[in-house]
Amino acid sequence: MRKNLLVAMIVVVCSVMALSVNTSQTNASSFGMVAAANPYASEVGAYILEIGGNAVDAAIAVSFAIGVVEPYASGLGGEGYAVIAMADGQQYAIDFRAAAPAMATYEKLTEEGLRISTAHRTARGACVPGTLAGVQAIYELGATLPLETLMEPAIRLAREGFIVDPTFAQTIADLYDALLNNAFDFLDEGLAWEAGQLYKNPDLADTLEHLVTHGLDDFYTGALADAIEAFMIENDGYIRKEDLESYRSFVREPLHGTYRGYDLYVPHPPVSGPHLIATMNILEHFNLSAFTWDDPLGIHIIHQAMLLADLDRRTYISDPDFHDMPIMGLMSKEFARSRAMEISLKQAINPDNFWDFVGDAYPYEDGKTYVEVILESLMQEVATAQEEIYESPSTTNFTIIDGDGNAVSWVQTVSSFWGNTYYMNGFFFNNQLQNYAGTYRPGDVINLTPGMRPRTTICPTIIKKDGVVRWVLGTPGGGRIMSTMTQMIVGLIDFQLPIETVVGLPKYAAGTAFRTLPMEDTFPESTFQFLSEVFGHNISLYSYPDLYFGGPNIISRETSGMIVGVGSIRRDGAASAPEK
Amino acid sequence: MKKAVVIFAVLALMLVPIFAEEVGPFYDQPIFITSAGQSPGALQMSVLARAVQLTHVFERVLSAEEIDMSDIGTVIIVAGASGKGLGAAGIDTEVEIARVLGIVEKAKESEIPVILVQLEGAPRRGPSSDQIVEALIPFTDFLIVKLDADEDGFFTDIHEEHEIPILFFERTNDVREILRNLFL
Repeated sequence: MRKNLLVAMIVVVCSVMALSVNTSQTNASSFGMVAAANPYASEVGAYILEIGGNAVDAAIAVSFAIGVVEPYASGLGGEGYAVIAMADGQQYAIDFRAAAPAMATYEKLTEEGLRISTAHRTARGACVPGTLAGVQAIYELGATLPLETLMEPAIRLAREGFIVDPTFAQTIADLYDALLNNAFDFLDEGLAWEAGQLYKNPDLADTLEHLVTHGLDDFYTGALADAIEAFMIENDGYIRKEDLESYRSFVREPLHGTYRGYDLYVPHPPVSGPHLIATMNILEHFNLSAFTWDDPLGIHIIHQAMLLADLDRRTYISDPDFHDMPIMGLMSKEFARSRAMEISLKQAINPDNFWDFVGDAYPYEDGKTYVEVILESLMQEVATAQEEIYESPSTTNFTIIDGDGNAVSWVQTVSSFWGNTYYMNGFFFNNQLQNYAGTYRPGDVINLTPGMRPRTTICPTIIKKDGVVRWVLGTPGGGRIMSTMTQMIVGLIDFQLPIETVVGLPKYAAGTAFRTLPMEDTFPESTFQFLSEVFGHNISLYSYPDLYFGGPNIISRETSGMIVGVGSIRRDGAASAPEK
Repeated sequence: MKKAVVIFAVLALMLVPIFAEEVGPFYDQPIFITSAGQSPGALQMSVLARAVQLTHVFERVLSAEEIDMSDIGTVIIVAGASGKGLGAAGIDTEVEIARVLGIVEKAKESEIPVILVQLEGAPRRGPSSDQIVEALIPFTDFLIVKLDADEDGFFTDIHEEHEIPILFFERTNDVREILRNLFL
């Protein structure tokens, strides 16, 4: 059924766009590649490359298109982060994360008899959306085609419709009550859209056309901003026009780390770039290539490294405009050595004792070695956020390489699927409020603070070798993002597996949010047995393939120059290539 | 066989308006709608009933003791197990089956017909959902089933073995017309 729907969707897209691009789950081309969670979106990107756009042009077009065909996972009411590597050597990390509105405080919530856990699926759950500010910044950095041209495919998809896929339908079913209450106009006369139906969103088409006419900034300062404020007031939401007017995206150089001779370019806090580099630094101290992907000792080591890095993430990572954090220490090889020492090759860390294993990264900010620090035995008290914040398997990612070697890794989201479920002018608002601490805790780096961007795990990444882009990676998946990213990088670099294999291999997850070891059920039985009976892991099985573990859409630039793309197997992803 | 049942049912319903004066509605209102498995299908059934302007009550987790059957013309059970829904209700499949069995047993005692609906199709088939359906079959007077939920013949076999009339539909929106013809 899924394969038939994918074929039907591709046929419809091709006929709608009169394209000469080719699309499949795994694809190879020397002209460029777009990998995305939805074939409509990947085809849009390949179409833009086909008509002469570069990777930045294609990325902007895909951002709009995927917000149309995956309204549950991202869109105008959402936010994200992108990492770009241009062929001329320029590199950018663009932060367009949502920011807490001025009214969003614990006091306000308490006054209304609410907590974050009860407010995030109301209009109050929306933080100031950053998608369009990000698109504007990225457009100015490197686009070559008119913005109208880049938005036209998305407008056409919204106006003429597209075939609903199983993920779209299933996510509606999962949240039907809330959507019925808050987004009746989105539904099919009150009913859930079904896989195989043609879905049109004329309201969104109108909104996008409005933006073409009036400029993207209208969302933040113009008529759309007025409409958003009015909607929020009517629905007791917190966003006001002042919040929109004061919103900014940030353009920085990506953070840089290395892993076995490869260069990793990753985003800044409050997302998980430093976390990824810290994890890979720990793993660099183990000879992982001596293992196979399903070896229980190898899995155990990777799992424990991911857990330790997650402890540190939850301790330190926040919005750098609001909190100082020892980022250089966290990403240092010396700190990683001290963390590697915490990994027992005989026994997994007991979940009851997770918080005994937090690392102190501050001493490493000054460039001290692990020998110096440990001998000095200086440990500062740091506030640790021990509250678990559940992250749903939501969000979307896409990756692009064009024929000139420009590369984009882009992740965008409305936080949970369908965000806060409030629907206006064809799009849903995010519910990023859920990613702040549930209650105020002194010293907690993720206390709800007006203007602050919440910490999340997204991590668009570009990996280079000797200055040349080798892989463009990213994945959705909430709290499982780091686990999937780590396993993919180990698979590519240590096990030297092709990207189709690293995407398709069963996955597992590690982190402080997991008291068990979640694993997809297609590892060998002996692996499960060894992990549980020898290392003491408490395994919880998921039927392969499970969306819970994310849905990476990634691209490889082979040493031959061929570009290979893989769409996610867990979410109807696809890779599209121009034919010239 | 399935195609023949579908054709027969569609023809039968098409003939209803012609013989409306003699035939009248097949089932009575008010309708009591509940879920068996806590999937969103039961709420969708309420939406459909409202769209057709049927007098009905929708309750997700009410037990038999809390229902006054004297006010009810027909019971509609929408079967479909949802781990999320059961979890939100704080119950498991066994407790849910016991709850719904209580309702249909009470309906039977009051001579109130029971319509069992599989609304959400193939994605809502599975061991728990099938277990629920099988438990309710002895009390079912009419089946309404989404076509793609019967790819393995599960519901056709039930229809044949238990001689329960069955109607298949393709799209959820088709159920409006079915409800219209059954109740109006």
